[in-house]
Amino acid sequence: MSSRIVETATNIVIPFMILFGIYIIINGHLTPGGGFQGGVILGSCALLIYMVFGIKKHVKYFSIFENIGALVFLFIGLSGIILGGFLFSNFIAKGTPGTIISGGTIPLINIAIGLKVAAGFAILFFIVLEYIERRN
Amino acid sequence: MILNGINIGILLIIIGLYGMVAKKHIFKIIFGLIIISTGLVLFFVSLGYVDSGVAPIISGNNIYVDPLPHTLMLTTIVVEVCTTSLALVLALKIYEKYKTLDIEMLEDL
Amino acid sequence: MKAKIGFIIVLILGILIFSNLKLKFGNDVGITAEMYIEKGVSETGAVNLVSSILADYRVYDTLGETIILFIAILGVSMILKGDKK
Repeated sequence: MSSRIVETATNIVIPFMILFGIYIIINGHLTPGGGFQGGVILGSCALLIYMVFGIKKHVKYFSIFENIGALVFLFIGLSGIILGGFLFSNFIAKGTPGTIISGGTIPLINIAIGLKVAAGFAILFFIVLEYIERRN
Repeated sequence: MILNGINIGILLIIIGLYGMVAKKHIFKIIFGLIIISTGLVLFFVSLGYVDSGVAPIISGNNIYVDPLPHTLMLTTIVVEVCTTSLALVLALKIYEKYKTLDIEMLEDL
Repeated sequence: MKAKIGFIIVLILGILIFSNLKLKFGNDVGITAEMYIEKGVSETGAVNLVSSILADYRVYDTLGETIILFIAILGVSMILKGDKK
């Protein structure tokens, strides 16, 4: 379905896309970015892989990732009740602002949301592409 | 009329509303929805703008813009993507069943 | 006919909005923005204020947003994967 040029370019580009998405997610509390933006970058990376190399049966692993992201997000919120007094309280020590370990629960929430959004968009693209392929 | 972000945002919302009301093709209605969302984002981000302000990442004594509309519009973008995907999938199923995308042809919907 | 009626309605709406618009572009920040800029770093520890509002002050927004994303995926998969032929 795809040519050799597209496959070679995709092989070169994909690791940098994944690295950039993870960078955006992890540095979400220091630089512009956050969980949603990096998650969308990772999801579009999955779309590129699907469109170039064909569809593999990997969608059930993505749904597991999405469930893990949602459960980690809710677990952080519920453990805020026990440790901080109310739902989603910021119960971890704040740290020095400007360093990578700062912000309390904000980086953990960013990572959980990034995982959930990336897996969610990958599932969304996968369902539509699989439907189109099944119809042809 | 002064060309700033607030006026252009409201103008985009009105253009998208006209597209949703008057057009008959389903894709044009969905495009109207997307134009409304874009105008809304432009409108709210322009409401938070301050003269000679920089992005709200604290470093030193600068003038910062309002960070709250940026956050709300981040939410709006994701909701817009979800709404558009659902609308496009419904349009796909309508085309499969009735072989048309004109909403005046869909009499027994 | 429908397009003309829609155009007239939207034109009247636009005239009403633009004749009553009192919003200034680029004026001073409000009281909530001053509070976020002064106390945001010391209260949450994150430098990026957008991220600190998204994941600390207004985290219920984020919770609802993930629920909306989940419902959208559920709807798309129900519509497209429903008929196994």
